[in-house]
Amino acid sequence: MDQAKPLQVDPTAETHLAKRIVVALDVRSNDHGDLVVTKGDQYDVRENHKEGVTECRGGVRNLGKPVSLASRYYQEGADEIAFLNITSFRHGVIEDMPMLQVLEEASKKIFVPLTVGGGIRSYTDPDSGQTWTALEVASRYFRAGADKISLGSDSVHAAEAFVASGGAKKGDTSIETISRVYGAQAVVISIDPKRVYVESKDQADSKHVVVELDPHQLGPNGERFCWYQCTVKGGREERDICAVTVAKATEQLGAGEIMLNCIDMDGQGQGYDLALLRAVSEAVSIPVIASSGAGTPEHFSEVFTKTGVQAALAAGMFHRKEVEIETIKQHMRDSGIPARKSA
Amino acid sequence: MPEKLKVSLLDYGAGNVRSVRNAIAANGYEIQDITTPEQIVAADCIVFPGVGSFGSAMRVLKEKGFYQPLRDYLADYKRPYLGICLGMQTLFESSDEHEPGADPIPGLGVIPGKVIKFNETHMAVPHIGWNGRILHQDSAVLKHVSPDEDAYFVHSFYAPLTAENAPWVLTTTTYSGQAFVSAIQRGSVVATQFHPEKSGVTGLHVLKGFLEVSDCCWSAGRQVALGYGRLKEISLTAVVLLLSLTLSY
Repeated sequence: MDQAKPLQVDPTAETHLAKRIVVALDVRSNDHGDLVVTKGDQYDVRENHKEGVTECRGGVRNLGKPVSLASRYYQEGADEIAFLNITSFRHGVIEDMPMLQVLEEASKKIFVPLTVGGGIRSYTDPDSGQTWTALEVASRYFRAGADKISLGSDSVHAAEAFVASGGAKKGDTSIETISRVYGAQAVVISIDPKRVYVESKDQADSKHVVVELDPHQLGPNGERFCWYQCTVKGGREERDICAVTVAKATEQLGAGEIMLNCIDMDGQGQGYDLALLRAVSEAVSIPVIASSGAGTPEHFSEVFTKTGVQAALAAGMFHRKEVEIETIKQHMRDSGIPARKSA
Repeated sequence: MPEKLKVSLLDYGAGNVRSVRNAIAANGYEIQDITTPEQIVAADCIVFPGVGSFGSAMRVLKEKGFYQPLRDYLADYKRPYLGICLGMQTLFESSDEHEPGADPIPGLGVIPGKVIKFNETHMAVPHIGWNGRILHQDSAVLKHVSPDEDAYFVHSFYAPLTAENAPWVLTTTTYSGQAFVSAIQRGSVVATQFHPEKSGVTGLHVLKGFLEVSDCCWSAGRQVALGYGRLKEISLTAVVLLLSLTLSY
């Protein structure tokens, strides 16, 4: 190889970190043990029937859907892909998790970061009685091709224990163990808060951070203030801790990114919850991924202009082919927001 | 099909390098895993996607007896080498990435200088995401990539630009105003702070450029070797002919 030739360099030249568009696929197992993408995917039952799925467990699984959809998003310019597993692993052994096969196949075709979420926790095989730690489960996902794993309920409990102990690190939480081995950048915390409206800033328990909502995002009865209560178990159980507190605690424990949802905005297509995203991105120094509420290209430009988030995630609007990723990026560039330039 | 360069992959099993394998395979090259120091000595092209921490990577290289063979491999900058992320940082003399209070662990020491941490009070750390490159050298490795295409970074530590490492610098990148070395090249030794295997088509094209240039070197080397072999054969035939001629007289 010849030594490359030196060039004149402008010493004032700068590059800019692009704001990322993350596409999420909510994946679950159907009755056949196949993985299907649920959000905005009203036709999956009929399509699976058409594709002739083998019925018994252990038979041929139809993994095509998540992989082919993800490949499409990759080709269309997604900066990152997140597979969010909404099936609980009540059956089977760890090596048989269909999501592992999805990752292995996806990583052959998709050369952008892959995140996998859901089910990363300590797990006991009901048949053999064997137990895997959250770190072991995560390791298997990393080996299958995941770059990051996202932790949900587990991280809320870890934050609660961290706060209750006055900021003591136990060292054995899933956040800490995975972060120690794979690095903070591999650990994403997924927070699912819901709004709790209050009359004024001092009406809530002082441990919760109360925010003033943006004028166009007030509560259904014109409520101006709220705090964001964290939930676990897919939003079914509420906890007495706010999203800002969980974000700060998990950052201390070794998280590298926060994926911030909002149950009130999810699936509404009315835009991201700006007050929430502003409060959390100002409270932590790790990157925040906005989630829940995207419906138009303007929502992306708005969240990047009005809050400190580094990435914005959407699922339904892409699955329904309402907006193309490139259209969003063009809108961002037109608004002066750096978007990834690709080949 | 003409014989192609084989890529030797330095994967010591500390994390996910599946994507690196897939990206090399997507470019049509075969991979063999380096498991012994002898394979480093014999390798035609080494790819080192460092995973884990600086200290753990260096420790493993030493434990497996790879440290000295790698230094020898890199010594004259003539043999194709691609370091990725930590695989670039380990080329430097040392890093601030170590346990608090512990002594810094030396790197391979091929490039002068130390790898340091981004200032958390000024910017979000790690630096995660897609960023650009400012070109410092005109290199065939980047011939398939347009200068304004972004690449994917994920790191908390960086190599600052210094007078000493200037001859190595292929590209720099800035993050919140902080400039850092985002790729190096000297001779056939190439390394990137960004992840080509995670940088979409742009990244595949960076790998393609590196592998093509390496393959070209390797084929040229083989041509010379083959030529030499044939020459030996011809002279041997001549000697035999001469001998038989002499004998027949």
